[in-house]
Amino acid sequence: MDRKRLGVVVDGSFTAGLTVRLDPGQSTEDLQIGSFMVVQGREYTYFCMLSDLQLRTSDARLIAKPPQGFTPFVSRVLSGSATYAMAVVKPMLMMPTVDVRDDSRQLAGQTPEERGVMSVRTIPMHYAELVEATEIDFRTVFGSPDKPNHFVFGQPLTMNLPICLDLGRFMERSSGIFGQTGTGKSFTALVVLAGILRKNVGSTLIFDVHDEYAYGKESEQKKWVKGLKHLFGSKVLVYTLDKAQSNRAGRPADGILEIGMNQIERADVILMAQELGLTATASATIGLLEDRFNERWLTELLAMDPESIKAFCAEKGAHQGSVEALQRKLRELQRREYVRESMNANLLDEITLALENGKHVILHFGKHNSMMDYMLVSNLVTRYVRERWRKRTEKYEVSKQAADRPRPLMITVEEAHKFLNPEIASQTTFGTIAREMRKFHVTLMVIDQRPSGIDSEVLSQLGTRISGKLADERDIDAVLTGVSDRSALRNALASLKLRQEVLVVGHAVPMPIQVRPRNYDAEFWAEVAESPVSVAEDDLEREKRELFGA
Amino acid sequence: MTERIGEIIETDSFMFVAESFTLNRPPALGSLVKAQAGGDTWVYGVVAFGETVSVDPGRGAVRRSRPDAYDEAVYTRHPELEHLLHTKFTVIPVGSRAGARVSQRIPSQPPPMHYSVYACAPDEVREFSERRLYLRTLATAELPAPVEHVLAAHLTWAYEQRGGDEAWLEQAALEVAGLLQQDVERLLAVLYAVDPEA
Amino acid sequence: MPLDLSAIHPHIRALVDLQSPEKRMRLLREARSVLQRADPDKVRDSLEVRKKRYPWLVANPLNSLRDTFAVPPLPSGGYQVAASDGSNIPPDRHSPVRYCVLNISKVVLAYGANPMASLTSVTEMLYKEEDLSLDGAPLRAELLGAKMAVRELEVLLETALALSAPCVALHDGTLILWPLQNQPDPVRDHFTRPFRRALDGFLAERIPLLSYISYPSARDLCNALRVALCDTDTSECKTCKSDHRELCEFLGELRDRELLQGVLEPGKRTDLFATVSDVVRHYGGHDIVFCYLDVGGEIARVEMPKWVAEDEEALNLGLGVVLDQCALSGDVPPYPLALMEAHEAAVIDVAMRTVVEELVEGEFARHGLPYIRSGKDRSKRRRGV
Repeated sequence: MDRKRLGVVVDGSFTAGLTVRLDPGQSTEDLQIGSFMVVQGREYTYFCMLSDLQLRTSDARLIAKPPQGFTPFVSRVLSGSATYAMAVVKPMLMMPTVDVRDDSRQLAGQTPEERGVMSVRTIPMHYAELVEATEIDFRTVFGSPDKPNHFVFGQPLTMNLPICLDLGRFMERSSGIFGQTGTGKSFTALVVLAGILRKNVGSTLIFDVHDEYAYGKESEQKKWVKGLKHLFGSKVLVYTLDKAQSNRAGRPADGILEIGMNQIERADVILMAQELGLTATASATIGLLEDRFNERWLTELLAMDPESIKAFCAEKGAHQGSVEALQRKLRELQRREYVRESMNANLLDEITLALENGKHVILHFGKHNSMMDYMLVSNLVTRYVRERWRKRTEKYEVSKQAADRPRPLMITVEEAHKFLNPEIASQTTFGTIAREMRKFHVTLMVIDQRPSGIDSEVLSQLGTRISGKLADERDIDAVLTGVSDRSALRNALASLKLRQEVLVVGHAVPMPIQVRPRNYDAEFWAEVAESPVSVAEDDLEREKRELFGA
Repeated sequence: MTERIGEIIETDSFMFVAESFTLNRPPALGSLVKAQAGGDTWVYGVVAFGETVSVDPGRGAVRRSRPDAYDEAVYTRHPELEHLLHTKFTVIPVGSRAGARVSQRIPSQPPPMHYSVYACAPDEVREFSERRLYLRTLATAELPAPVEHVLAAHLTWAYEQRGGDEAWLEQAALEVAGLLQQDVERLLAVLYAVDPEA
Repeated sequence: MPLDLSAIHPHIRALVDLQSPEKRMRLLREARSVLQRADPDKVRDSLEVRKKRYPWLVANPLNSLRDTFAVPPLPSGGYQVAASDGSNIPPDRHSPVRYCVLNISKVVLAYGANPMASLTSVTEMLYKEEDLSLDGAPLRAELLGAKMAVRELEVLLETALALSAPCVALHDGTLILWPLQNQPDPVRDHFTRPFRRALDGFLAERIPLLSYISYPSARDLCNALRVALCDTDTSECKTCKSDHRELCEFLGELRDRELLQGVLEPGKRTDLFATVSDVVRHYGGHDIVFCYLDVGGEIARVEMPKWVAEDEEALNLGLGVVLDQCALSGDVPPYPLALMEAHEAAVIDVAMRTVVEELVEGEFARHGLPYIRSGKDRSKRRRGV
């Protein structure tokens, strides 16, 4: 297939990328930083990302004294000759050119490697041609939707053809979805999650703090979109903290989640230190309480009268003022509707079991959507679930029976910086999961608008990153933490439009690519929906009326 | 056969000078001409200079007009001027033809002294200028006139001979732009001069 | 080495002083007044009736001494003019072989309805003994000059015969073959005979022949004034006691063109005078007549066969053409254009002389003949330091 020629390689290096002189008549405005392009070398074809565009002049006089009054003819001729443009492209992958011509092989291969694509080990010589990527090139590198685990995530910015994520690989390691407010992170996440549910590559546990995933949300276009519960019905179990919520039409809940004070551990409290206004001594104080009362420490603390406190302090050498302050502050927890005096583990076991059996669980917060609720419940549940996976993994390592192999689990967590900021990342369960990688078959999908708030060690462990536009330099740096070709990707990231454009980097794609994610719309739902269990559009409208009195 | 327009009076590998058969009317600057080189071989060249001078280099031209007799009347009053003056044009060889084979290399032999120079018909101009390697030869030749003027004259002339072929002109202009990109003033001089829209 | 100009400079002023400008102006005024009042009959009488011989050339007035005439304008419709000039490569004393090359130009300029020009030349090589010597004597410079003059006139006639009227033939220089003045009769006749035949030819076709002398150094007219002034015997000049002696001696130094400066004005000519050279007697009756003509910026001498002078139409046509040709030259002082072109067409430049020599030398070498130049010549050619 003939590809449209854009220019020729005239300079470059393996580390900095290839410098391409754009052909006369080729406007820089037709090219977008971050685009997927192809360089045709003699032996190999190189798949590249456009990382920079530069304007040059052959004669300094054109800069010092730009000529005036060009006719269209003169400017047409000048552009591309005395004034010209350079493109810098970064080769990411390559394959023998003979294989590029063999369409059957490319399309047959399951993985990029099988299709003949390999990571770059060299660069082409001078005057290799830079050409536009064709559909075949995209398919060669990014695979096609008919492969197992390949899910159409979106389209390249400049073409109408599917770009797939390898969801198996996506789930193997923790991932991140980033982007400033308004970039559609939650829709992107919905598309990815729907893909994971549809392809059944693992289980997911979703903390739906903003009430977006279970029952959908209102889109930018003021249209009510469907939630995962609607699309996947019984495959998705929704547990809510909000009892009132469970009775609402069109919002079926599979259970009410309640938490016993006996299930709250020191780490859960410390995580909320900021929200609760705890002092630095709180952790030590809780430690003394735990020594004395074990899992009943919170119940006991809250039950203490001033005399008991004095006695406890005398016994354990605690500071009375600290204990009193802690008691005062933790009464906040006691006031939560969903917090009980004592709970057995049945409910958490139920959730865990569902996940193990291939169901997906969404924790719905309803009206209890303060950051304290979110942090308390998420951390507590995650800790419990992870502990179960850890045990399963250890069992599997002993038995080596395929049946014992834990099902991959991905935990979706919003406002990730709350759990993974550098101060507390080392103490939370989420931090632990992020750092220990896939050791216990549990990974995170962190969703955040401020990635710079996340601990860099956690960021560097992310396998796949999907990022919309980011304005803050620190956020851009954070997203690219631990990624090679950062300067090329930084430009690709900065060039994204605010809406509906994301950069995908990492494990789930053979090479970084800018993508227009699929619309999360009726067409999409029709494609992914498991069964007609999902509520009809009419129901959604009705519900909307009930909710908003419209 | 096209018109015989002159006879070669100086010739070397890189340029030749012909005396025009018409006084004061050398072929157009930048036009493509061809010189007989014996048999069916021809040398193609671009006219890079034209001049009318005294035949005797030791004898410069002097004023001949009078208030009542000037311009054409000078030649009526001075019939001897047809013999004392001659019009010469300098041609830069840029290619050759042997039979039907056209090449855009500098011919290995200069055209012979006293052989004829012919104008090229539009079809021949079209054929020869289809490839434009010769523009580089022209741009790098040691020219008797500033290169930008010769190139501009040639492009304009060929554009007209090709029946106002704007695509050709733009491609040729781009190639010239490549050749002159280190000297933008010259380049702009060419571009402004050949611009068909101006 | 270049000239030492400082050695000359002080003498230049002295040279001016020597001319004693005031005295000269006074004598010049007196001379011009003599021109106005002198009696032409007295001159004619002295020359013709008394056959007095003077040691200098005396203009013999055909009519007056003082009258001047405006040359009438040329008839409209154009004219044709032929001109000729010559140039030569003389026999080279330093060369082992003797040869001589003549180049005689043929110039025709036609004006009017069909302007035309033809600028060519006839080249001749002389190398046979009979061509290069006369009665066993080699053809030296003055005789070569005479030969050139004869050939030029012959070629001019040949050129002029092709013209259509009105036409004029212009010759450069004098029609008087001075070099023959003191030659033995056979030598003289050798040249005058063809010369006379050429003059016959012009007469036969009635083609006005005029000869043009720029910046003439002749004193014929001044000498005529001396004759008119003289009241003694000119054989006693050395002992002359006359009051006119100072003026007479001044006239003897004065040139005709100086005398006539201011007397003539552009476009005017003097009256006609016959020459009294001995050579002319051998022209077979073709007396040579001359006048002076102010061509604008210069007083030129124009010579012609007597028949032209006597044919008013031919005379006015001829002088009119001379003036027109001078105007066409565009130069100041002017020079007839046809003669200028004749000179240009005839001239053999240094490069061409070398070419001829190399041709001869090369041909000799090809045939194994030695060609050795004189040592002096070689030293001149190789001016090494």
